[in-house]
Amino acid sequence: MKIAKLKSGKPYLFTDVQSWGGKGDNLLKLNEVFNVPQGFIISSETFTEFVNKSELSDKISEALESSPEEAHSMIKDIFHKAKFSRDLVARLKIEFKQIKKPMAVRSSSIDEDGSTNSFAGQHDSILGVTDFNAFLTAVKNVYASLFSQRAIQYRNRHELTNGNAIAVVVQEMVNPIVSGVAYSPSPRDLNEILIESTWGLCTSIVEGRPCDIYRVVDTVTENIISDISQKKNEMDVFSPIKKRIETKKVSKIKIGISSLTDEQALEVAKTIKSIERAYGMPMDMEFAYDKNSNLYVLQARPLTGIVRNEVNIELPDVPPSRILVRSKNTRNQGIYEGPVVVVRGIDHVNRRFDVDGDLIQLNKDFKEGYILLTPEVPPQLEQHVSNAKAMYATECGTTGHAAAIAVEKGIIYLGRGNSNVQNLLATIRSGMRIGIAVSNDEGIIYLLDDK
Amino acid sequence: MTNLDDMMYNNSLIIDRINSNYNNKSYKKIDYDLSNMTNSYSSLSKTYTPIQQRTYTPIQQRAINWGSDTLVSSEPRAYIEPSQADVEKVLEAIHMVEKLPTDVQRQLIEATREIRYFIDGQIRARFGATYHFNAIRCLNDPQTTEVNRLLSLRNVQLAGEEFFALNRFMINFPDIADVQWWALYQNGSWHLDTWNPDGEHLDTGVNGWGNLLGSVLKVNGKVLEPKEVIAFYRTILLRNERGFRTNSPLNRLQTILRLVDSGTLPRGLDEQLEELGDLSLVDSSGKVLTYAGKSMITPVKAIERRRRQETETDEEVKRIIHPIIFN
Repeated sequence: MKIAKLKSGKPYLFTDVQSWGGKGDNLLKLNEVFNVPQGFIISSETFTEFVNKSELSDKISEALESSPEEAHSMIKDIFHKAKFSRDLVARLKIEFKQIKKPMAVRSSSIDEDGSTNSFAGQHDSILGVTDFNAFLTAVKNVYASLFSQRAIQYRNRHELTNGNAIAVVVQEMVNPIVSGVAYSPSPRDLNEILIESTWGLCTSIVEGRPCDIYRVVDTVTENIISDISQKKNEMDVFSPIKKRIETKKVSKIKIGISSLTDEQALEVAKTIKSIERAYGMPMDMEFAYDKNSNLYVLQARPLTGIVRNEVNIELPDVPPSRILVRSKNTRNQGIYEGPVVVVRGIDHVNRRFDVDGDLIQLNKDFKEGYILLTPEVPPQLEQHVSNAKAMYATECGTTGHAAAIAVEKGIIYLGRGNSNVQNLLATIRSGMRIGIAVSNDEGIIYLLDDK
Repeated sequence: MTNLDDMMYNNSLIIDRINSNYNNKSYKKIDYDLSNMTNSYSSLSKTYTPIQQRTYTPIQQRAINWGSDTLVSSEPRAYIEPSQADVEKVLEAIHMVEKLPTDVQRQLIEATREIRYFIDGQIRARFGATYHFNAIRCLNDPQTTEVNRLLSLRNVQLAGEEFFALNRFMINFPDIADVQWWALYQNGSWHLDTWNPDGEHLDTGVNGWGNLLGSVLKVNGKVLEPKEVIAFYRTILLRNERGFRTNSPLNRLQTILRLVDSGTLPRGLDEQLEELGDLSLVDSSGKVLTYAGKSMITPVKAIERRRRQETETDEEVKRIIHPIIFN
């Protein structure tokens, strides 16, 4: 059994993704020089030892013969019934005692956070763990999530073969006043650093809710172009009692004001720039500020997909009367005309999608491609829209899951913009044909000419 | 392009078009139906790809050594010119750039160059330009070491250099004692600067470094894979720019190490001992200095390092310090 400590002053000179997974490997490296939430990482070898010693392989293989949903539930059960060895429990107890509670237990798969696959949200994370038994259960849940339907499909789609072991990252939970995501370089402009931030946890940014945007043009002259959202009147916070993330209204005094000071935006920009320079490739970073204005680096990973090329395509000359949406939130350039599939709404609480039609059937009917109109793309939706050739996400900007998935898939992407149609997602119907054209600077969605 | 503000708001016209285009699909709300999805998965068993053995084509060409015409010393002072068998061992250990994925190639070329530049710069800054023998020694004479015939190539040179006892003075690297650096460059002009009686050092002539064909690095005795070389380079960049977050500065670590070494460490310094353990400067008992720990407090010069290469009897230490041992 191997356990690595995330502890200030603990060196990590090299790399060992096979043991610590992509996320764990990156955190160990960042922990050397940045303020990273403290904790420890359980190696992927520990998972393999547990599976082998408990003779779970055959049971798992057998369970996987069942339907995907049943299989995951059965495998969860198999893991929960199996017992960790006495040595492992003793070692975990020592590490567990040294961490401030509550803690987060997260997956770190061998292919996760690599330079080609983001694995965003494909495995489970368990938040707010405070007692040791709950911690052991959380580790088993993370192990079982390796066999969740969406994780298996993700690996199959990306032809990944190493998905048969998983490391586990255990960290103190930061209670952030402000958090966000920073990109270096900005996906929109290679000369800038892009920061998106909001009050509380940055889950709301990943889901595409309103946030502040800072374009750091120059860290030396401190040239920052800020776009402060007047709509960020909600914040995600972790409820230690309910042990889940809740959305709360922010106090009136915070509405409409910048979530980051200029000094903080510069500190974040310099941090992500250091990381980009060290890794020698475009990187993104999740960060948080606690109540004492300490900056925490929560995660850093290579920006997946291709950084946009310098050639800017020209948008078609469409009359204003046929333009449905115009937006500056662009990621992948291109023009596509074809049928549309509309997801009208996403209900996170009840895990339901409000789709105009049968999503699985539409994905099959339009296997040659379609334009996906959706508020956002949570991981649960991603697997059912595999044939999309272009995407417009009404709630996402250039960051968040929708944009990350579009970049990873290499499909045309347009994020939230100004619509000429009131309630666009309730008006456009699945099956009708429309067009999307996206350049580096701007994109449009338009009705096709009847002729 | 029309500005958004100037655009006509034409909702009713658009809705008319939508209605006329739409082929009467009924709007319905559905639960997620996963039953149609097929399942496939990989088994739990791991597969490993065996490491490919390197092969070298037979001797075909004569070696050509490039660079300065200055005569090199016929009597090496701080290095031992490797035998042909040793050279073959080095070549076997070297990771050839052309065999690596394209993105790794670019990074390895940069990392191999920049790691040497960085450490060399730190040493010269600490000791002064001509006092390199306090932490650098050559591992061979690139103009003498024959590799072209073994590789069936022209104008290739093998350059080896050792940076030793670095954690005596590199403040952000208390955990790094030695770095041994071997590289194969083509069309460069590597040669020895031999004027200093305390030890030779590597330099390049008018053709510079040349093109990297391959390299191998040992850090504290660990032979690095290409991805580890790149990760090590990232460590150097990050630590150099942001500082390594140790709790104690280098000189305090050295003071505590001396106390441990002399058996005079007072009680109540558990945190400091734990820190030394985290940095692998003391063993698990906390009473014995590791190789890296001793290195941190022991002055040493290039000529002494050469002597130790020949005389070291502790197999574990020999594995760390000997530049031709790669396992």
